[in-house]
Amino acid sequence: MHYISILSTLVTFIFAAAVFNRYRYKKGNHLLMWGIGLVFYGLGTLTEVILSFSFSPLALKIWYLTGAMLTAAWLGQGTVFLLARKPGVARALLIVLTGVSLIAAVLVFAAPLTPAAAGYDVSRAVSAQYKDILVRSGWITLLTILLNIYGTVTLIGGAIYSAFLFWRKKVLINRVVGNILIAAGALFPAMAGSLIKAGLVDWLYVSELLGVVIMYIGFLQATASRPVEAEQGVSPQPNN
Amino acid sequence: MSRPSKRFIASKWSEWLVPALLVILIVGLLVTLAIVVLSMLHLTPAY
Repeated sequence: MHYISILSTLVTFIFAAAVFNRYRYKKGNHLLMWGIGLVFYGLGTLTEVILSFSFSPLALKIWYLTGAMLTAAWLGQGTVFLLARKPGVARALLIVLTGVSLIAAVLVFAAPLTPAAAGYDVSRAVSAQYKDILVRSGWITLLTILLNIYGTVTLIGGAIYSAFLFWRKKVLINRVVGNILIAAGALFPAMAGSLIKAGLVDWLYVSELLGVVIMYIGFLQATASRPVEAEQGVSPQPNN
Repeated sequence: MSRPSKRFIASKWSEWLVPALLVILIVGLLVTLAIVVLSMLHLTPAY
Protein backbone atom coordinates (compact mmCIF):
# COMPACT_ATOMS: atom_id res chain seq x y z
CA MET A 1 0.00 0.00 0.00
CA HIS A 2 2.84 2.44 0.72
CA TYR A 3 3.86 2.40 -2.96
CA ILE A 4 0.50 3.98 -3.75
CA SER A 5 1.09 6.66 -1.10
CA ILE A 6 4.61 7.34 -2.45
CA LEU A 7 3.17 7.80 -5.94
CA SER A 8 0.38 10.02 -4.58
CA THR A 9 2.95 12.16 -2.76
CA LEU A 10 5.09 12.60 -5.88
CA VAL A 11 2.13 13.50 -8.08
CA THR A 12 0.72 15.87 -5.46
CA PHE A 13 3.94 17.83 -4.98
CA ILE A 14 4.48 18.04 -8.76
CA PHE A 15 0.90 19.31 -9.05
CA ALA A 16 1.50 21.82 -6.22
CA ALA A 17 4.68 23.06 -7.94
CA ALA A 18 2.74 23.55 -11.19
CA VAL A 19 0.06 25.56 -9.37
CA PHE A 20 2.61 27.72 -7.49
CA ASN A 21 4.49 28.26 -10.76
CA ARG A 22 1.29 29.48 -12.39
CA TYR A 23 0.66 31.72 -9.36
CA ARG A 24 4.17 33.19 -9.80
CA TYR A 25 3.35 34.74 -13.17
CA LYS A 26 -0.47 34.83 -13.22
CA LYS A 27 -1.07 35.83 -9.57
CA GLY A 28 -4.62 35.21 -8.30
CA ASN A 29 -5.39 34.19 -4.74
CA HIS A 30 -7.23 31.09 -5.96
CA LEU A 31 -3.95 29.64 -7.21
CA LEU A 32 -2.23 30.40 -3.91
CA MET A 33 -5.02 28.69 -1.95
CA TRP A 34 -5.00 25.66 -4.26
CA GLY A 35 -1.22 25.47 -3.89
CA ILE A 36 -1.52 25.52 -0.10
CA GLY A 37 -4.30 22.92 -0.25
CA LEU A 38 -2.12 20.67 -2.40
CA VAL A 39 0.80 21.01 0.02
CA PHE A 40 -1.58 19.83 2.77
CA TYR A 41 -2.68 16.97 0.47
CA GLY A 42 0.97 16.04 -0.11
CA LEU A 43 1.79 16.20 3.61
CA GLY A 44 -1.14 13.87 4.26
CA THR A 45 0.11 11.27 1.79
CA LEU A 46 3.76 11.77 2.84
CA THR A 47 2.94 11.04 6.47
CA GLU A 48 1.04 7.95 5.28
CA VAL A 49 4.32 6.78 3.74
CA ILE A 50 6.20 7.50 6.99
CA LEU A 51 3.53 5.69 9.01
CA SER A 52 3.77 2.67 6.73
CA PHE A 53 7.41 2.25 7.79
CA SER A 54 7.32 3.23 11.47
CA PHE A 55 5.03 4.87 13.98
CA SER A 56 5.55 8.51 14.89
CA PRO A 57 3.08 10.53 17.00
CA LEU A 58 4.02 13.69 15.10
CA ALA A 59 3.44 12.01 11.72
CA LEU A 60 0.06 10.70 12.90
CA LYS A 61 -1.03 14.16 14.02
CA ILE A 62 0.19 15.81 10.81
CA TRP A 63 -1.59 13.08 8.83
CA TYR A 64 -4.87 13.72 10.62
CA LEU A 65 -4.58 17.52 10.59
CA THR A 66 -3.65 17.87 6.93
CA GLY A 67 -5.37 14.87 5.38
CA ALA A 68 -8.57 14.71 7.38
CA MET A 69 -9.08 18.37 8.28
CA LEU A 70 -7.35 20.99 6.13
CA THR A 71 -6.85 19.76 2.55
CA ALA A 72 -10.40 19.93 1.23
CA ALA A 73 -11.15 23.23 2.96
CA TRP A 74 -8.09 25.03 1.55
CA LEU A 75 -8.62 23.65 -1.95
CA GLY A 76 -12.23 24.78 -1.68
CA GLN A 77 -11.08 28.20 -0.49
CA GLY A 78 -9.24 28.56 -3.82
CA THR A 79 -12.49 27.95 -5.65
CA VAL A 80 -14.24 30.50 -3.42
CA PHE A 81 -11.66 33.11 -4.49
CA LEU A 82 -12.28 32.14 -8.10
CA LEU A 83 -16.06 32.31 -8.02
CA ALA A 84 -17.06 34.81 -5.31
CA ARG A 85 -18.48 37.91 -7.00
CA LYS A 86 -18.66 40.25 -4.00
CA PRO A 87 -15.26 41.62 -3.03
CA GLY A 88 -14.48 40.81 0.54
CA VAL A 89 -16.50 37.58 0.77
CA ALA A 90 -13.57 35.35 -0.11
CA ARG A 91 -11.22 37.35 2.13
CA ALA A 92 -13.64 37.14 5.07
CA LEU A 93 -13.98 33.39 4.58
CA LEU A 94 -10.19 33.11 4.37
CA ILE A 95 -9.83 34.87 7.71
CA VAL A 96 -12.35 32.46 9.26
CA LEU A 97 -10.66 29.46 7.63
CA THR A 98 -7.22 30.57 8.83
CA GLY A 99 -8.53 30.97 12.39
CA VAL A 100 -10.30 27.61 12.33
CA SER A 101 -7.20 25.93 10.85
CA LEU A 102 -5.00 27.33 13.62
CA ILE A 103 -7.46 26.17 16.29
CA ALA A 104 -7.57 22.75 14.62
CA ALA A 105 -3.76 22.57 14.64
CA VAL A 106 -3.58 23.46 18.35
CA LEU A 107 -6.28 20.91 19.23
CA VAL A 108 -4.72 18.10 17.19
CA PHE A 109 -1.17 18.69 18.43
CA ALA A 110 -2.43 18.88 22.01
CA ALA A 111 -4.52 15.71 21.65
CA PRO A 112 -3.20 12.80 23.72
CA LEU A 113 -2.49 9.34 22.35
CA THR A 114 -3.87 6.15 23.88
CA PRO A 115 -1.73 3.15 24.94
CA ALA A 116 -2.87 1.52 21.67
CA ALA A 117 -0.10 3.57 19.99
CA ALA A 118 2.39 1.00 21.32
CA GLY A 119 0.66 -1.68 19.28
CA TYR A 120 0.61 0.27 16.02
CA ASP A 121 0.92 -2.15 13.09
CA VAL A 122 2.80 -0.70 10.09
CA SER A 123 1.39 -3.38 7.80
CA ARG A 124 -2.14 -2.07 8.35
CA ALA A 125 -3.56 1.17 6.97
CA VAL A 126 -3.25 4.15 9.32
CA SER A 127 -6.87 4.94 8.47
CA ALA A 128 -7.82 1.62 10.10
CA GLN A 129 -5.95 2.36 13.33
CA TYR A 130 -5.98 6.08 14.10
CA LYS A 131 -9.34 6.01 15.88
CA ASP A 132 -7.92 3.73 18.56
CA ILE A 133 -4.74 5.79 18.96
CA LEU A 134 -5.57 9.48 18.61
CA VAL A 135 -7.95 10.89 21.21
CA ARG A 136 -10.22 13.22 19.26
CA SER A 137 -12.22 15.62 21.35
CA GLY A 138 -15.69 16.68 20.38
CA TRP A 139 -14.22 19.92 19.04
CA ILE A 140 -11.80 18.08 16.75
CA THR A 141 -14.64 15.94 15.40
CA LEU A 142 -16.86 18.95 14.90
CA LEU A 143 -14.15 20.96 13.11
CA THR A 144 -13.28 17.95 10.93
CA ILE A 145 -16.87 17.66 9.81
CA LEU A 146 -17.34 21.40 9.24
CA LEU A 147 -14.06 21.79 7.34
CA ASN A 148 -14.88 18.81 5.14
CA ILE A 149 -18.39 20.02 4.39
CA TYR A 150 -17.04 23.49 3.51
CA GLY A 151 -14.25 22.07 1.35
CA THR A 152 -16.42 19.51 -0.41
CA VAL A 153 -19.22 21.93 -1.22
CA THR A 154 -16.92 24.70 -2.43
CA LEU A 155 -14.38 22.61 -4.35
CA ILE A 156 -16.66 20.06 -5.98
CA GLY A 157 -19.72 22.31 -6.16
CA GLY A 158 -17.59 25.15 -7.54
CA ALA A 159 -16.04 22.97 -10.23
CA ILE A 160 -19.48 21.63 -11.25
CA TYR A 161 -20.83 25.18 -11.38
CA SER A 162 -17.87 26.40 -13.46
CA ALA A 163 -18.25 23.50 -15.90
CA PHE A 164 -21.96 24.28 -16.19
CA LEU A 165 -21.28 27.99 -16.90
CA PHE A 166 -18.78 27.27 -19.68
CA TRP A 167 -21.07 24.58 -21.09
CA ARG A 168 -24.12 26.85 -21.10
CA LYS A 169 -22.17 29.63 -22.85
CA LYS A 170 -20.55 27.09 -25.17
CA VAL A 171 -17.12 28.60 -24.64
CA LEU A 172 -13.77 27.03 -23.78
CA ILE A 173 -14.54 23.34 -24.01
CA ASN A 174 -11.20 22.63 -22.34
CA ARG A 175 -12.53 24.32 -19.18
CA VAL A 176 -15.75 22.31 -19.31
CA VAL A 177 -13.69 19.12 -19.46
CA GLY A 178 -11.12 20.42 -16.96
CA ASN A 179 -13.71 21.37 -14.36
CA ILE A 180 -15.58 18.06 -14.75
CA LEU A 181 -12.29 16.25 -14.13
CA ILE A 182 -11.46 18.47 -11.13
CA ALA A 183 -14.90 17.78 -9.62
CA ALA A 184 -14.60 14.03 -10.30
CA GLY A 185 -11.05 13.92 -8.92
CA ALA A 186 -12.01 15.81 -5.78
CA LEU A 187 -14.92 13.44 -5.25
CA PHE A 188 -12.58 10.44 -4.82
CA PRO A 189 -10.80 11.52 -1.60
CA ALA A 190 -13.96 13.25 -0.36
CA MET A 191 -15.88 9.99 -0.68
CA ALA A 192 -12.98 8.08 0.84
CA GLY A 193 -13.09 10.32 3.91
CA SER A 194 -16.79 9.64 4.17
CA LEU A 195 -16.31 5.91 3.62
CA ILE A 196 -13.70 5.82 6.41
CA LYS A 197 -16.34 7.32 8.66
CA ALA A 198 -18.62 4.53 7.45
CA GLY A 199 -16.01 1.90 8.26
CA LEU A 200 -14.56 1.22 4.78
CA VAL A 201 -10.91 2.09 5.53
CA ASP A 202 -9.02 0.44 2.64
CA TRP A 203 -10.38 2.69 -0.07
CA LEU A 204 -8.37 5.70 1.12
CA TYR A 205 -4.96 5.15 -0.55
CA VAL A 206 -6.31 4.29 -3.99
CA SER A 207 -8.80 7.14 -3.92
CA GLU A 208 -6.08 9.63 -2.94
CA LEU A 209 -3.98 8.61 -5.94
CA LEU A 210 -6.90 8.54 -8.38
CA GLY A 211 -8.16 11.84 -6.99
CA VAL A 212 -4.93 13.78 -7.38
CA VAL A 213 -4.14 12.33 -10.82
CA ILE A 214 -7.59 13.16 -12.18
CA MET A 215 -7.53 16.66 -10.62
CA TYR A 216 -4.06 17.30 -12.09
CA ILE A 217 -5.25 16.25 -15.56
CA GLY A 218 -8.27 18.50 -15.06
CA PHE A 219 -6.05 21.42 -14.01
CA LEU A 220 -3.80 20.94 -17.05
CA GLN A 221 -6.85 20.73 -19.30
CA ALA A 222 -8.53 23.80 -17.76
CA THR A 223 -5.37 25.90 -17.98
CA ALA A 224 -4.41 24.80 -21.49
CA SER A 225 -3.61 27.98 -23.40
CA ARG A 226 -5.29 26.94 -26.64
CA PRO A 227 -9.01 26.22 -26.78
CA VAL A 228 -10.08 23.35 -29.01
CA GLU A 229 -12.43 24.73 -31.61
CA ALA A 230 -13.14 28.24 -32.77
CA GLU A 231 -15.87 30.37 -34.18
CA GLN A 232 -16.10 33.78 -32.59
CA GLY A 233 -14.67 35.38 -29.47
CA VAL A 234 -16.71 35.47 -26.27
CA SER A 235 -15.32 36.49 -22.94
CA PRO A 236 -15.66 33.71 -20.39
CA GLN A 237 -16.74 33.86 -16.74
CA PRO A 238 -14.53 32.20 -14.16
CA ASN A 239 -11.12 31.03 -15.24
CA ASN A 240 -8.52 28.83 -13.70
CA MET B 1 -6.13 40.51 -37.11
CA SER B 2 -9.07 39.02 -35.17
CA ARG B 3 -8.53 37.05 -31.97
CA PRO B 4 -8.92 33.29 -32.21
CA SER B 5 -12.38 32.21 -31.09
CA LYS B 6 -13.12 30.47 -27.82
CA ARG B 7 -16.55 29.18 -28.77
CA PHE B 8 -17.24 25.57 -29.56
CA ILE B 9 -20.03 23.62 -31.15
CA ALA B 10 -21.19 20.71 -29.03
CA SER B 11 -21.33 17.39 -30.84
CA LYS B 12 -24.45 15.19 -30.70
CA TRP B 13 -23.02 12.85 -28.08
CA SER B 14 -21.64 15.62 -25.89
CA GLU B 15 -25.07 17.27 -25.82
CA TRP B 16 -26.25 14.51 -23.50
CA LEU B 17 -22.94 13.29 -22.07
CA VAL B 18 -21.88 16.56 -20.38
CA PRO B 19 -25.22 17.19 -18.64
CA ALA B 20 -25.28 13.51 -17.59
CA LEU B 21 -21.78 13.81 -16.11
CA LEU B 22 -22.75 16.99 -14.25
CA VAL B 23 -25.81 15.25 -12.79
CA ILE B 24 -23.70 12.25 -11.72
CA LEU B 25 -21.21 14.60 -10.04
CA ILE B 26 -24.01 16.43 -8.21
CA VAL B 27 -25.39 13.07 -7.01
CA GLY B 28 -21.87 12.08 -5.87
CA LEU B 29 -21.52 15.36 -4.01
CA LEU B 30 -24.90 14.90 -2.30
CA VAL B 31 -24.11 11.29 -1.34
CA THR B 32 -20.77 12.37 0.14
CA LEU B 33 -22.42 15.12 2.15
CA ALA B 34 -25.15 12.72 3.28
CA ILE B 35 -22.54 10.27 4.62
CA VAL B 36 -20.81 13.12 6.47
CA VAL B 37 -24.11 14.19 8.06
CA LEU B 38 -25.04 10.59 8.91
CA SER B 39 -21.65 10.11 10.56
CA MET B 40 -22.24 13.33 12.50
CA LEU B 41 -25.48 11.81 13.78
CA HIS B 42 -23.60 8.59 14.68
CA LEU B 43 -25.64 6.64 12.13
CA THR B 44 -22.72 5.10 10.22
CA PRO B 45 -21.34 1.69 11.27
CA ALA B 46 -17.78 2.55 12.36
CA TYR B 47 -18.15 6.07 13.60
